[in-house]
Formats: sequence, C-alpha cells, structure tokens
Amino acid sequence: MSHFHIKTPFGYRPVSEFSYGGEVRPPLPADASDEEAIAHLWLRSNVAGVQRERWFHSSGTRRWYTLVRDTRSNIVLAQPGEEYQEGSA
Amino acid sequence: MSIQFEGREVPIQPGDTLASALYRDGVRVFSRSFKYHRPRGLYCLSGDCPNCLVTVDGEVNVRACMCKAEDGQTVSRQNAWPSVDKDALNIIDKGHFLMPVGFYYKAGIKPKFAWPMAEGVIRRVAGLGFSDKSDAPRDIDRINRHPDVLVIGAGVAGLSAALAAAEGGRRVMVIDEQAAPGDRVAQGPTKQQIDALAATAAQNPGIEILPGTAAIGIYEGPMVLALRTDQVLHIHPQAIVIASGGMEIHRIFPGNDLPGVFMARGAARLAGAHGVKPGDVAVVWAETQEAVEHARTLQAAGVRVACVVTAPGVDAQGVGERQVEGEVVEAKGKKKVQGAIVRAAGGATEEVACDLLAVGAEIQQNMHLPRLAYDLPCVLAGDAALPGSALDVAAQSGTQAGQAAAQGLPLYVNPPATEPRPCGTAGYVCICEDVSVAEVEQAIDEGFESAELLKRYTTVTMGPCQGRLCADQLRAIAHRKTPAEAARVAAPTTLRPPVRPIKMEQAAAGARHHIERHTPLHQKHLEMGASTLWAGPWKRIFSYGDMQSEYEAVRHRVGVIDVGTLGKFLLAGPDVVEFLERIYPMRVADLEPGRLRYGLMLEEGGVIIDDGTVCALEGGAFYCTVTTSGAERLESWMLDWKEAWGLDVFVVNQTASLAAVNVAGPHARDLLEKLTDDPIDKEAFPYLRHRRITVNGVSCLAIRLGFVGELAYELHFPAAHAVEMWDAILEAGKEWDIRPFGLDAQRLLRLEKGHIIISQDTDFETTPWKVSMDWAVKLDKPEFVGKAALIRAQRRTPREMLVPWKMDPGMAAPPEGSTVTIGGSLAGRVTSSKMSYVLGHPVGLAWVTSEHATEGGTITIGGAPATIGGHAFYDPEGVKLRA
Repeated sequence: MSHFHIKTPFGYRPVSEFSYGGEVRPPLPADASDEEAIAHLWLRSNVAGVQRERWFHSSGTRRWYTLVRDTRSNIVLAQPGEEYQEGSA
Repeated sequence: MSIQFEGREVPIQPGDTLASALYRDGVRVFSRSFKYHRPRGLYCLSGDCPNCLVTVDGEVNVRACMCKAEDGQTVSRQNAWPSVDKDALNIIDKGHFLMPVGFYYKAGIKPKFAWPMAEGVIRRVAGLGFSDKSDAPRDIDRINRHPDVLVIGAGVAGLSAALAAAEGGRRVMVIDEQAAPGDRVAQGPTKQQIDALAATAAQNPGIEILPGTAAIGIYEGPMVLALRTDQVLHIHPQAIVIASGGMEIHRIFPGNDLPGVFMARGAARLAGAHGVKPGDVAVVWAETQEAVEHARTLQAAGVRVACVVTAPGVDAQGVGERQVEGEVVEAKGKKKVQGAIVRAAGGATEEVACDLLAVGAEIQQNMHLPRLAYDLPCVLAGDAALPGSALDVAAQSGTQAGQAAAQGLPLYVNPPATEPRPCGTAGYVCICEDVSVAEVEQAIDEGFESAELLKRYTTVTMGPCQGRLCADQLRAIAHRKTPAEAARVAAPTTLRPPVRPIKMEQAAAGARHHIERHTPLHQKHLEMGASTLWAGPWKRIFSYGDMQSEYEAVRHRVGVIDVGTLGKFLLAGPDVVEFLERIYPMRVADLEPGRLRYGLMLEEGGVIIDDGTVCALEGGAFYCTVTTSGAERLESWMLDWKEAWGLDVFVVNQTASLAAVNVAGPHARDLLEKLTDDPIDKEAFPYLRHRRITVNGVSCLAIRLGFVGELAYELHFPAAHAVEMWDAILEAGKEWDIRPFGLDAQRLLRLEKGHIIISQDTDFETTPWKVSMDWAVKLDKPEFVGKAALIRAQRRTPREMLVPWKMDPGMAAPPEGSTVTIGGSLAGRVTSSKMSYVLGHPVGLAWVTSEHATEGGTITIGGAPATIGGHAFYDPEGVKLRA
C-alpha cells in the first residue's frame, strides 16, 4: 500500500479522490468570549505533526471520513474507524 | 533525407540525432556560452550538458544530442550574432570584468534609470534561444498510470529488475528517456546484454516498456512525473526501482570547455552508435577501465589515438599509440582543442597534439532522482547504486532490486553526504552559466562560503544541467577554501524537480481538462444559437443572441429559462426539521406542506454563503434548492454539520437526476394551462406555494417564486423528460411569441427587483445585516449556523451596506466594479449595473458606506449622479409576481 490512501467501505482509495476538510475542532461553546469566537473562526493550529482531520470523498462515496495523519510525512496513523494510539507511528 | 540547417541542407542517416548528423557534416561549434559567448561543442551526448541546445522548427532549447533527426526539420543555433561560428559577441569573453559573478547584485544599481536599459541589453546578449510567442499552445494530455512496480532506466540493471519483479507476479512499467533500450550505447558487451534483456522483457506480458519517457520528478504517494512527446504521465506505482545510471564526472581544467573536449562516453557514442568520427587525433584520459573500451571504439572508427592517459590501476595495454600513467592538466587551443598537456605520474609534463580530448573520468551516480525519493518505497540499482560497476554486478543488483520491489520495499533513506571528490583549480565549473573556478573562489572571498549560498550567488547548478555536471564540484571548491568547516560549507545543495527540462505546454498538461457539466437541454440551447458561460462546473446559457427580446418576452408575454443547474436536495429523516432549523437562519418548523420559504445559508462567521428555497413536502420531507455554483460545496457542508450534530437525516443530491425550467411572464399561467389539467389558478396555487402537477404528462414539482419579478412557475421533474418538456413549452407558448431566455436577461430582470446574487453582489464579509435581509434571520431560534457571530455583528454598525441605485434616463449604465464617491471621497463600489429597458434608466446595486446608505441619498458613480432606492424599482409592491 503506497501511503496516503483513505479507508472507505469500498476499500482504500487514493487521497486524490478526496477534498480536505481541515482539522477536527471542538464546537464553539455558547458562552464563548469574543476572543475565543475569533480564534474558533479564523485561527487553525496548523500542526506540524499528528493531526485528527476530516476528508470528504468528493469523487467517490460522498461521505466524510475522520482520520489521524502525521502532517510531516502524510502517513495515516489511524484510518477512519480505527483508534489512534499515541506513538503508534 | 536531410534537414535544413541555417540555410543549407545537411544529409541525415537512419539512427541519427541532430547532433550526430550535424557533426558528420562538419559542425563543431554548436552554441555560444551563456554569458561570454565562448564557442561550445558537443560534450556529453546524453542530454546532460547545455552545449548542444538548438532551435528546431521554431522550438527553442532542444537538445540536439537527444533529438531524433527527421527529414525536413529546420534547425538553427542560438544566442549568437551574426552567427555561432563568427560570434561578434565573443568580445565579451575578453572583458569578464564587465560581467563579474554576482553581476546582477553589483552593477546597475546607480543611476537607477539606467538599469532597465542595461537589463534590456543583457537580456538580449545573455541567455539561450528566443521563443516564438506566436506559437499556438498544444494540448498535452495528462494521463494517470498505476503499475505495481516502476523501473526508471532500461539499461542492464533496469531491465534485470523489471524481469525479476515480473517474475514475482508484479505488473511492471519500465521508462527510459532514450528512443529504445540501448539505443545510444556503442556496440559492445553492454549493448549486447541490453538487447538480449530487452528482447526477453518484450515477450513478458507483465512488463510494459515505455521508451522516450523521461522521469522528471518523484513526489510523495509515490508519484513519478514523466514526460513523453505528447503526454505527461502521472505514474502511481507501489514501488520504484531507480536504475537511471551514472555519468562521467565533469573534470575541471583550463580549456575544459573547448570544442573537441568530450566526455569519453559521448565520444564513443558518436563513433560507435552513429559512425561519426569525433576527431582525427585523440588523447583519451582513462580513469576507468570502461574508458579504455571507449578508446578502442574510437580506434575502430578510424580515430588515431595518440595517447591514452591512465589513472593508476587502469590497464590500457595495446590501446593507442602510447600509454602514459598520469593525468591531463590542460586543453590547449583557442577556438578548438589543439593539444592536451599531460602530466605523467613522475611530474613531467608534455603537450600532445590532438583535436579530440576524450575525458573518461570516474563514474558518479545520477543522484537527481534518488535524492527526490526520500521516505518513499524505492530502491537503487546498477550505476545509480554502485557507480562504475561491471556488467554482471549491475545485472545482479538489478535482479535483487526487482525481487525486493516485488515483495514490497522499505522506505528509501538518502545516504549521508560524503566528502566531495577533489576538483581542478582552474577551468569552467559551470558550462551552463559560464562560471569558472576563479569566479567561485572570488564569491567565497566575498563571503558566500557555503555551497547553498554560492549556488544562489553564482548560479552554478542553476542552468539547464541543473547541477548534473557541477554540483559536486561546487561543494569541492567550498570545501577546499574553508576546510575547517566542511560540514557546513560543503553540504550537498537541495535538488528539486524537474530533473530534465520541461516545456511550458508540458507543465500545463491537463490544465484544460475540465469536467464540463451540461443540463439535458444543453444541445437544444446550442441548436438555438445560444452562447454559454461557466457557472461553477456548469456551462450555462448566457443568451440566445438578442438579450433585449428575451427580456421583453418575460416582462410583457412569456419566457422560459433552463434552471436545471440549480442544486436540488431531498432531505428526510426523523431529525430533518431540527436539521433545517439549524442550517437556515429563518424558521422552517412552521412551514406547512405545500408552502415554501426563501432561505439564506450562513457560515459560522455569519457570512452569507448561499441562498435558495425550502419546500415542505407531504409526509415530512423537504425539497431544498441552492445556487448553481453552491451545490457541490453545500452537499459536503450539510453532511459535515449533520455529523457534527449527530442528527438522523438523509441528504439526497438530486441535482443531476432532476431537470428544472422556469416559465415566467404575464402569460405563464395561460401557457401552462394548455399543458396541465391540474388547477393552477391564483386561488388554488398562489405565490410562494408549491404543488405536484402533471405537465405534458410528466409529474412535476411546480414552485411559485419571484426571482425575475413576474408570474412564474418553476417546474422540477425527472431529467429524462427534459427535451420533450422544453419542446412542449415552446410549442404551447408560440401564441404569445415565447422566448427562451439566458442569464444575461435574467440578471437584468432580477436587478430591476433589487434581488441579489450571492458572490456577485456579496463577498466574504457579507452578513444579512449588510444587505438589509434582517427579515431572513430569526435570532429568537435556539441555534443556527452563524447565529453567535450575527449577534456579535449586531453590536456595531456595519461599515458599508449594499443598496440599490438608479440613474436618470439618458444616462449610460456604468461598468460593474465602478467606484462610488460622495463629495469627492471614495464611498463604495458597484457590484451590478444594467440599463433597464422597462424603466428607461440604469439600475444597479452598490456597496456604500453606512452613513450614506439611506434611501433617497445621492451618490456619484464614475462622475455621474445616482440615487439610492428602496428595495425594488420594478413593481415594488410585488403585484405582478403574486398574480
């Protein structure tokens, strides 16, 4: 398996079939301050390392998938549905 | 067979390249060097050096040694005046001080006005060919390929690897930049072995050999980018074997760039593969046993080998007139080689007269591709792994690599940088950019100590060879000048793709591959003479040729527009109402079946991203439309929120399966009554309602909306019935002189009503407050996307507001994008502007600073006065659309 394929119910598909949906972020709490709201809207952590993120299978199953990836190597550490264990890289 | 070369015919023979044909014909100077216009001749004959770049049939910078000679080609040399043979610009070579290294950073700084002029002259004098800009670009195909194993290089190692990988049950692709495996190798054991392996591989159904295919980069995936004449390949293998070979080291000594100095492999290629004598009297410098074979090849071609200069351990017994253990320290000659200074091992030097100096230096790996393969499943074989290895060793390393690739490869890790091999102290380091050892040393003295800095300052390694010849030499000089800090100054410079030259048209391969979506009526529109425009992935109809008559049909009689590109979604499920309440800022829960409501869609920042309608269907489902360009994005957007909220909803995208047309105009009802038996009168089917009715025998969801401001029925029905429905409507409408109308007419129709188009009139900061659509937002709902941000935004007055404006009759409609001024100060911009036929004056929408955005206020657009209006100029009470 060459790397950066994403597991779907129809097998592993190359990342070129997906659109990036960004890092997974907690929802903004209702009582958030202005600063927290601005950070939530506009700031991303842009991690150089392990990141939980979303991908939409736009040229395929048209579903969302959540996976864990090392942004430095593009190695998928946990495919959708798999548990990510710290240090499993 | 012949080619046209600078006004004369040059005969060509089968198997010729342009280089071999021209050399046979007596051409010795192939180019003039980049800066100093020094004469340059053939050197590597393997596509690695910059010396033989010529213009072929108008295409510049073609490597003559890699280009197959074909009957009728027109070939000329470049970068010289009046000719390459007698280049007047060579005068620059006498005045190196005028163009010192780092020239761009030093000269022409003052006076400032002089630099553009000087630059113009330099640009004309320096550089390579001039491209023909009249040339129409070709469409180069971009093709994805998915072999299991990709082998780069079809030499002994590469073909052995391919056979072994195929033996292991893998589908193998072999690419090689030559026209055929072994095509350019001189007769001998290597050639025989390649021919035998290629014949075996050709019989193997698991192996595909693609000659004429140059790998120019390796990327993650892994993905290998490869160039062919009319194609660019994106190859996605699971494992890569790099067998791209090695090359003789570019030796540096005074005169090393003179015509007549060859790499020994190049000279042997000319003699052995093309039957062209590279010279009459040769000195061969053999640092390897392989080079002794090249001397034999030259002898066999009739070259008198006056002397073979051997490195210790190389046996040249019986080859050439005499053998000297030692080295060549200089090539003598003015415009071509006339002799070689040989220094024997004992230290005595002598000059040997010759017109050919074949330098058979030590073999180095071609490290360009391997260095790009870091962290990818890749293995090296042959000279790429063990430079200068014997044939059986190369074959064995290939077999092992192929077996490993078949079983799955570990990730390749670049070997640690080794100390660069020592290089000469005078001569040209970089023949691409014309940089001598002295110039590099001068740059080091100026403080640019490390190879990375030297590269940028001197441009060594940055020419057409991309460092093939000179990268190690640059490191060696840096190392020599600052030996105490070798690790810092002599680290290898970064290599980047492309490793072979790429044409602009190849770089643009696939750029014009668009998925062009058409509605089922597209062909009908084209038959009626429609012009089209892009709308997201769709080609939509702009006009059928006469926008005004299309417009007038809608305003006064009846028209029909294809709106099949609208995003159409069926939503159902236990939580559907909750879901819609959260994705729309208006209320949905109170919509009874048969009713509909206009809805904005906001992102979390409260910015409008789309708009459309929500229809409540019988049985608890909903039918939602969104804009043409929003459909793709909004499907994933809705699904994302659905998962975030954990709601039980099904979102079915019916955009492609349903067609839609909007029949609009005072006679819309009259027309439809001819096609349906269902009641569609004002009482049974009022404005802002929808009904399922049968039109022309097809069950349609009919929706009464008012985007264009007239009585209108939007029909949504299965796409398979689109053509017959369209024809029936046009036929039924004949008595009112119906016209199909396009987007151009629709944009004016809606503008007269003051209706906005998302993304034309709005931008990435537009909240509903700024477009006075407070009515479309219900802040008393518990939750919807963007609510928190809208509440925050409410705390302060928006900087600007979108307002409708009109001008007096007789004025021309200003261009969209015009600036708005008030009292001479900038106060906004126009987003939509058109001449209203029915009102007789220009109308439009504009952003205007909030303090001036009041109805009745006067603004200035492009010097002309305009008045801010209310919400609509045409039928402000909405009587017509409620008809």
